[in-house]
Amino acid sequence: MSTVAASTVGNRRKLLTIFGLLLLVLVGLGIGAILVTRAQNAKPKSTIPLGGPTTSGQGSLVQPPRQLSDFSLMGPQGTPVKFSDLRGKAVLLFFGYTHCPDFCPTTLVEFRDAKRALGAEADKVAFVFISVDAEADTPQSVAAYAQNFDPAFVGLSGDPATLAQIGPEYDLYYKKREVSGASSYLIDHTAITYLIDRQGRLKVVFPYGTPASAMATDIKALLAQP
Amino acid sequence: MNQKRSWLAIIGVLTLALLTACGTPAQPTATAPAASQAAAAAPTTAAGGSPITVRDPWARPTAVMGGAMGTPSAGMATPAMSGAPMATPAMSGSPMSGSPMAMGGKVSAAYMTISNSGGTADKLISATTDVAGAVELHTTEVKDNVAKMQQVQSIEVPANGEVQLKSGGYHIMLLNLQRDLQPGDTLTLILTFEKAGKVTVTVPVRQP
Repeated sequence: MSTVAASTVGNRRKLLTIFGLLLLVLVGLGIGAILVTRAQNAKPKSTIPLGGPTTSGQGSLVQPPRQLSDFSLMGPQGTPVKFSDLRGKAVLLFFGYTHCPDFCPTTLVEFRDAKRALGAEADKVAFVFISVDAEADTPQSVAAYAQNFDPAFVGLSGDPATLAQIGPEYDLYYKKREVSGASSYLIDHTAITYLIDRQGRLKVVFPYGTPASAMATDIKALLAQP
Repeated sequence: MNQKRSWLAIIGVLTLALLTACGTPAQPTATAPAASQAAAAAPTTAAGGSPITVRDPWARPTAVMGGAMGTPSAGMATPAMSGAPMATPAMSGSPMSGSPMAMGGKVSAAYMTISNSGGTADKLISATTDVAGAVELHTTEVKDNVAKMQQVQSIEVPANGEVQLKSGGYHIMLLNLQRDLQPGDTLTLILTFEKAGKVTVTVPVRQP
């Protein structure tokens, strides 16, 4: 009898140890999960000062407007394209990459429709798409990509150094993620549309999903300003 | 002995909890047998009163190179490009050329509404098409102004309900495209559902 009791105690200890270990593993997993989620959700802090809503109600006014630095990126013809070359035109700008199957084409279709809605006034606006995937996107391929939506659209390949330099002014965030599967990588990126006035000042930001009609309304309002 | 049993039960519960905490790894093993059974039982087409129907499918044109795709006026893009020191027309025809030019935009996405008239929920678990080297199910979300895309294992189609695959939500991502997709083209997409089996859909290519 006593030996049976002893072995039960022994078993109990063993089981307690296993239980304790399992508990540790669970707690560890929990902490790990929280840390991973935090790391994934690490978001850039917004530095763009926002005022009230725009005329359309769908964008936000940048208040005070932010004077943007000039920069140049290699154009499709092998000559640099300077941002300040666009001065004199309002600029509607989006950052993305050509392997992006959803957000980027969706936004560029809104750009196309906004341009149509503007009619003759569209000549006073440059529609610009800058790639954050310089490894895969050449100046030629980004230019062609943008022109697929409208022949007048400007597509530029952003080299990392230039993006690092101008990024903070746009709250630009982008991060390449290696993934298993055929896509091999995906890029998380800021999906804001920027409206810049003819003097190169950031005046309005639109969240992702802003319809073309709202963009057109706010572009018209911008063009009507002196 | 009773004590031992109760400890074993606790360990069992904990192990289960652990597996649940890990989530996805546990799920596929649980559902895979059911899926293969269903696939084996169901015929390969939607004929014969499949509860699954697909509405308004469409796929985005690819934007590999400028030229004869996109809006009708997009042909205007080509003259602007011709000054570039690149053999533009030749490139677009050779997807496997490995040049960075050919890599640009060799993806597309297909969208549709999938309805389920059956009394039990079903799941879209995979899709294939001969125009793409690989097909994945993806979901997208925008958080704090950052756009994020994520591969998913399946897309649930609720019982007596529908799921929309649309911009900003779910889409079927077509990768390693074997040819350009131009507006007016169609492609054949074979969807595999966990219960309903295979459903073949003809998907027109167009700009939204």
